[in-house]
Amino acid sequence: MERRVAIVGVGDVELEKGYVVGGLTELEIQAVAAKRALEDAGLTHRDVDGLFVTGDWGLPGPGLMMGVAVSDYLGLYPRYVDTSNIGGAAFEAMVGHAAAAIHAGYCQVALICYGSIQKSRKSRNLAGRPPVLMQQFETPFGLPSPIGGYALAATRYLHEFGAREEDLAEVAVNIRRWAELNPQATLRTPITVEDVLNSPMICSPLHLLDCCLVTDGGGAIVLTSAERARDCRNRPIWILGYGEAYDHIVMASMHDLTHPPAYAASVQAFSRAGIRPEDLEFAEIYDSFTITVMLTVEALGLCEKGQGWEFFHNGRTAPGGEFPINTNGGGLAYAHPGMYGIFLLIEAARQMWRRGGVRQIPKASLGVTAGTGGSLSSSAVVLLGVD
Amino acid sequence: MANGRRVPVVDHDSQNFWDHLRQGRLSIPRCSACGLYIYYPRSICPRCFSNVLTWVELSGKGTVYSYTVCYRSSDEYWATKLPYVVALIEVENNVRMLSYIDVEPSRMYIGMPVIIRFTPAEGTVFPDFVPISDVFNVE
Repeated sequence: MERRVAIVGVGDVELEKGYVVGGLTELEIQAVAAKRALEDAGLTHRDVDGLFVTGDWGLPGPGLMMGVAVSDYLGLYPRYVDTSNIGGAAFEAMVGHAAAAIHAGYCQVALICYGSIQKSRKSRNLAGRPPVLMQQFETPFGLPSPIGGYALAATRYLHEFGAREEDLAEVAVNIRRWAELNPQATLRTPITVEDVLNSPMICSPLHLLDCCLVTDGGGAIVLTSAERARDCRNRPIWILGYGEAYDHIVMASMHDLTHPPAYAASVQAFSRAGIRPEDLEFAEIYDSFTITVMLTVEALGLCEKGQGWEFFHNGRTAPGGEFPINTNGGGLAYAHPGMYGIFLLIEAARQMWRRGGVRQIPKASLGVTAGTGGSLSSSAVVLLGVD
Repeated sequence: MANGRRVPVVDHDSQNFWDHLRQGRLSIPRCSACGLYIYYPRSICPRCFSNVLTWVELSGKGTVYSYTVCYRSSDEYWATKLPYVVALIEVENNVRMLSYIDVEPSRMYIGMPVIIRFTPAEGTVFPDFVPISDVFNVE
């Protein structure tokens, strides 16, 4: 996989207080983001022959054939479509799937796009899924979804490793400091550990400020082969390694609450890339909740299992710290439209192309994006490098 | 019923489970080939893929593996119970169940011994749990 497929363009849309500007639909957002990503790459929609789309906006309208719906709307005629829905990690997975398809010759230019107006639609709540199939063993017992599953993991994590709510709060404090530097971020006011602990408890031990935002948002990414990348505007960002892994859909099936599928995904990604965790210069990690990030730094091998709670102390992952994490302010403070994973990739690309502005990190030639879906249910890890 | 607890949509996989609860029994399938106790109930063993399963009864005693105290809910029923406890409970034979524990939240700790409480509501019976010390005098 090494240096055969690259990210060559990214695009997203403006948000104001978490709302998409101008009252755009999910399809309009994807059109804006796709146009920007293709222009960024120096390609046109006629070059696109692979399309990767997911989300939940297809219902009740065009239905679950969202790849076909976007294809129609954008006037594309792809010969390869993937609508994998594995939750918020789907876009990291799609990078892996697109890389495989391009490498195999099934398509040459892959467009990944996403749009959500869940905040505008007020479609989000904590009620849990209908008590049908395996959900009949979860929903009737009152587990709020998805926060309840993460809260169960957090309680167990604190118990096993002697960590405290204060340690979880450090994750949110560090990430908020990045959001201060991002004009597009929804929440830009600095916060302290006390602010997190004093914010309302939602599901213990997770407070409001341990939780991601609920916003609109949209983004797009263009990938192509090494050969085609030579003609694109940007330096190729190589897909060096990739891994995906799955665990459970209901929490009773998660064997070890402190061992998410990110472990298995990381092992695959690092072995394919032939690099080690200590080689990485920065990380963009799915931050649905503070506990997600803590578990993921351990799973990626950035520290030992059980030491993730110390990893965020003393601003280590904040601006100026030795290991930057979530340099756009993350799902906790920038935006979270329901499936956040595409924004991990967009931000990683911007840092690697040195477009970070005031939040540009000094070293950004080797990084990782780690997506998490469901309730620690799925993971996809992409290792990225520029020459 | 307004504000009622959401009722399981019983299906072919789960019929025995909910039927037995109405008879005051907690039972789940066990794999006849490899011996695995399977929860949630399903039609195939996720360990050895045998589809020869037998329903077996459990005592309903367990210990808390993890829990959360919920202070918010969008569910009409649970919104009236705030704050309340949801837990993962290690029942015997490596079975782990997610359930509601009817307990004052400040009493909760990992490792707490609990026991099933058959809760009739909405025409079914829910396998809720309570601290074992609330049922047996274990001073």
